[in-house]
Amino acid sequence: MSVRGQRISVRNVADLARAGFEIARQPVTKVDFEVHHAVARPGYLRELVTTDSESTVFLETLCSATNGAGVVIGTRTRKPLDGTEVVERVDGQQPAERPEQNAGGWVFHQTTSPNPTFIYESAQTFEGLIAIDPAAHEVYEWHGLAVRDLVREISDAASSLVDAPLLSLQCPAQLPTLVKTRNHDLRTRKEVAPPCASLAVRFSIALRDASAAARFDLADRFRELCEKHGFSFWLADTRPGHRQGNWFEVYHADGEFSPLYKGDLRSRQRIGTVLPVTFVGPARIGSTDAIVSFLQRYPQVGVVGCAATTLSDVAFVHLQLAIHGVAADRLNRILGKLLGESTTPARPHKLLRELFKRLGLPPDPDGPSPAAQDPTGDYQTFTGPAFAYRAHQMPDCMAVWVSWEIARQQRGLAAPLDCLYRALAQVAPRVSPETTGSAGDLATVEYLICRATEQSVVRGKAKLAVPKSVLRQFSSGGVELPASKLCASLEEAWKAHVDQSGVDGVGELTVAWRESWLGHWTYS
Amino acid sequence: MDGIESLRHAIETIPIPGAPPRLSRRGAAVGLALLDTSLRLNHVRRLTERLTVVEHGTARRSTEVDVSLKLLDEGQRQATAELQDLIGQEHGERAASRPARQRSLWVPLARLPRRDVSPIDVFDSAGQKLPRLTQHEASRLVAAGLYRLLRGILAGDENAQTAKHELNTFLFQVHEPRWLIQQALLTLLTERNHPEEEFTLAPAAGTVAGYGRQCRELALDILSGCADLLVEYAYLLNVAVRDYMLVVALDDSVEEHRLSYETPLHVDARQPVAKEQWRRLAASRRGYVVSYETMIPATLKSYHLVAGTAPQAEISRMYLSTDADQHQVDGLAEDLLSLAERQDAAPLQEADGARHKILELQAQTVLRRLADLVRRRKWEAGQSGVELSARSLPACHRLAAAATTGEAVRTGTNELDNSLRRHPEFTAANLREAARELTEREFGQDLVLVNGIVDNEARAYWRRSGGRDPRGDHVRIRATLVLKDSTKSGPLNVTFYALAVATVSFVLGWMLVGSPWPYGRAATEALGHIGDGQSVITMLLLLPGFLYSRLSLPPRRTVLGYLGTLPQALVQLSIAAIAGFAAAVATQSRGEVVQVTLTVAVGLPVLAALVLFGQASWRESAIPLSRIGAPRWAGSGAWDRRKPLEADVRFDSSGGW
Repeated sequence: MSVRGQRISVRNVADLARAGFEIARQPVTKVDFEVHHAVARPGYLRELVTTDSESTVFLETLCSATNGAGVVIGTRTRKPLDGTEVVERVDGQQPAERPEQNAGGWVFHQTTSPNPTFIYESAQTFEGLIAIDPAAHEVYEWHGLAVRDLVREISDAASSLVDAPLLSLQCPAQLPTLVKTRNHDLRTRKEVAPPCASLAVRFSIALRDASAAARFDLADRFRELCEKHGFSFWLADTRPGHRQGNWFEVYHADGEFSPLYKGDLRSRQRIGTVLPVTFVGPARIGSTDAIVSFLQRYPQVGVVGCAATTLSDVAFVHLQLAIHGVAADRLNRILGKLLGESTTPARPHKLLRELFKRLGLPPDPDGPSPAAQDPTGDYQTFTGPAFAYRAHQMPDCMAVWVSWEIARQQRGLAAPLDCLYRALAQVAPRVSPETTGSAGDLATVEYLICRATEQSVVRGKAKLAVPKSVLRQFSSGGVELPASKLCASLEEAWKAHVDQSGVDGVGELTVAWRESWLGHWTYS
Repeated sequence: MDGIESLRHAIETIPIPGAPPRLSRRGAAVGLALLDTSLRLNHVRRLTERLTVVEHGTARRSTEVDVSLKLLDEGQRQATAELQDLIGQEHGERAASRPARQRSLWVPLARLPRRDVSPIDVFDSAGQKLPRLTQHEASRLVAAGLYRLLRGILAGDENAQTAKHELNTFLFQVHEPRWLIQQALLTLLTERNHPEEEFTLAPAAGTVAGYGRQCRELALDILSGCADLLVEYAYLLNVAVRDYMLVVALDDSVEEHRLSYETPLHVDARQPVAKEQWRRLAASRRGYVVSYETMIPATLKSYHLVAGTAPQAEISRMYLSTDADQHQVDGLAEDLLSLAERQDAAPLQEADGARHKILELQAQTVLRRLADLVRRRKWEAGQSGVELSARSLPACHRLAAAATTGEAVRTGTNELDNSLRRHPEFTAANLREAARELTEREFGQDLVLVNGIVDNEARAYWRRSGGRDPRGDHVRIRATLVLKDSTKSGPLNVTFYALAVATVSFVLGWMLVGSPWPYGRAATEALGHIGDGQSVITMLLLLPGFLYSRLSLPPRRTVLGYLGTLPQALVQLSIAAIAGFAAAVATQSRGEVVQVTLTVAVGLPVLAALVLFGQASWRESAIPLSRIGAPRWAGSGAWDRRKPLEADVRFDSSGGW
């Protein structure tokens, strides 16, 4: 590493003092959080954050929904009054958490120690997007194996190549907007919106040393991988004046996949069950790598969706596992029994090993051997329930990106999200002549992240899947695209609803169908 | 000794506590919030420093701070409000007993180095003195906060939950080593003095590590074992130990405050007498060079530096330069080199592959950043009225043009290719040359040249340009000013004085000899037998003495005195010469001796007058910027091979960071 990376930044020191302050001001020294595993149906997140907004407040939040299962993670959801420190067991053998059941899902409440030295700098990241099979409409067994191996490669590159943490991980993800020109003539430029979500992994790695050399090393590693397996590869555009959501195409695959995944007949089957698993612990380098490399020892276990990030110095890694040949009922029965026992450990390796053993899955004897040092030794695992796999609820969806800001002491996510849904219902009262529901009833939050920033505000960004048939209402008249018109009127309606609701401190609301246009009014 | 070393030393030497030291949990949060606020200073909107240099070696600095309580984070605000209650609680007061409108916030304004601690008065805009938090009160809170943070960091480590691991033992099983660290932090921060040098207490022979030794060693082992976790923590501890926070109480009901305070300036060590004397003599020609260095937080929105001096002096040049872009430029130079390396390694033939795309993206990123930096420097140079030509940074200009003009190349198949890698100027040689230029021409230093100087006051204004710095570090400000004697009457008077002295001696000699040419046998004879020596001596000493008393030379301690060292020395030489002549007359020396002293008494003052006259006619040309340490990209700096002048006085308030 160069000298540059070793220079101590005063801001990092101030961030450390801030992290310590956050620890010291809480009644408990640990960060409390909630993990919800629920069925992904339209409006599930809205119900979750608005119904019991009296008891819990979602401030820093991660949410992701795919394949029929959704996850919502919130930190510091507890009100200061009910804070009692959980009695610690010094031997480190924390038992696995028994879930609370609520409508259609399981809820886990727990606490964990944060890692205050984990200093997250959003400005120096290496972001990439790797498409595995963008044309796929359904998820097959081999997709799960490919995603699992890819996530392993990404986490391994982060920890071994640049010794840096993985900041975020997301699958499926939206591919970049297609831009076409004829004969390099600017006047023929056309933009085509990509599908709402494709089977692709989007990731970002924190760089301590943001030099071109480190970026070359990482990019070369992923390039080789993509060329070998036939995946498409984009890098986040780092040129000045480009933002998140601007991508630079590095390698375009022609649809020929490597025989590694396509050889086996079994792997061409559609998956049947998804099992949401969330791992939580102090953020540190190499934890995702340890989890995924453990999973690689089980050839029947694939990863069909993932969402990982760090909130309040705590790492949350959510994986959707697809286990070959195990039905949802059987899985839930075994899981219920396992979690009911008081001796079941919470540690990722131990819990998963026990679960796989009861499911009758032996580890691959030729697989990678377990590492001596386990950075997830103090992580907790929250598993289940298993859900039946569902392909996209709405086959034809467009992505609508929204962003907002809320003051920290406010009621959190509830107000902006509720207003957004009401605005959706107002802007498109009927999605199409055939169906009855409004856009508010049919839109799903596919991905959402809220993060507290330095200046006592929480910034949020989300991707909604909205049925494409909505656009028909906006297709007549005007020079702007129908999608832009939808976004503009949605933004107006959203602002009006927020003003009406009288909630203080909600601002910077923007809506766009291109991610990079967030933070700007719709017609540029 | 730095923070961690002092802590280790304290752990070695303080008594082992038998019960947990009293530390307040609420105080811990407040202490960390104070540290956080004083490092960030995000609530300071504008900083104005007024620097007045009248006497040599000392300066007055008064600082004006515009504070906006709105800019405090919610957490910082809450913590600063809580501090009021915490202080009251120690004396049994209840928060409710105080009327609500009297609430005040304790807000850090600055960090000052502890070594030159002196009483500082902070005034508000109405001229009222504001209450200040004492060091003792603040340090207890900071000690509590630092301990909580240390425990938080250690508890987040992966081994903290592992049974039988040393860290687990330290955190949950054995208490004394933990209390020892708490007590050591408390002692280190609340004691008036800090350890300067470590002292060790010699162990006795024939003993083994007992209970106390084991406790101390466990605490020390934890600190050294987790050193890589504690890199930032060590810096924070260093800040807490070395610096001293200026915390004042502000009225919560008013959002915007304008405060001012005066702080002493630290002057670096005195020079040897001979060197100092030589510099003094040289100063009268080139001026008195003052350099001032300070650190400001990068989040500061606006910074003003107002330099002033005595009314008889003037500021002939002033510039301000910061290293705000240094980090970016260092990175840029490094990236250009790695681009050059890759460009060499990857031939252009494989211009379609993914490897080419990766290189292309990096090339465009790096060169566009370079182009933007060149543009910014050009605007800066234009504002300052100096030149930044393509001649001084040829490669940078070529690459910037390649990145900005948006030219495409026709390939063999007559396709348009927008690739920067195909641009004819994008060569490894150009990239390497540009990297060298960036470093050599000090491109990381920006420049504010002050043009509108009104007599004895100059104002420089700086703010960060080019967007937010991702690192948000502190910015080192370096200002240099050149002071000159504005009246010009001093040297002129001295010239006249020297001429008058020469004339008196010459006329006396003429009268004694009887001819304007005081040489030859007759003249020697006449000078050897002066009749009324007394009158001659009276003449010789009275008139120059009277003139000298009218000369009103500035005191030696002042800057004007420093600038007037050469004229003063010449006056003294003239007096010495004439005194020598008088002495020769008084002792009725031989004719030849009197002749020589007469010659000296006439010649020396005339020479002095010539020197001063000559200087007066040269001095108009201003000293070149590169000679007073301006960045080398500005003006003719690139070609000036001479070493920059050393400043006559250096004020450094960056606190050694």
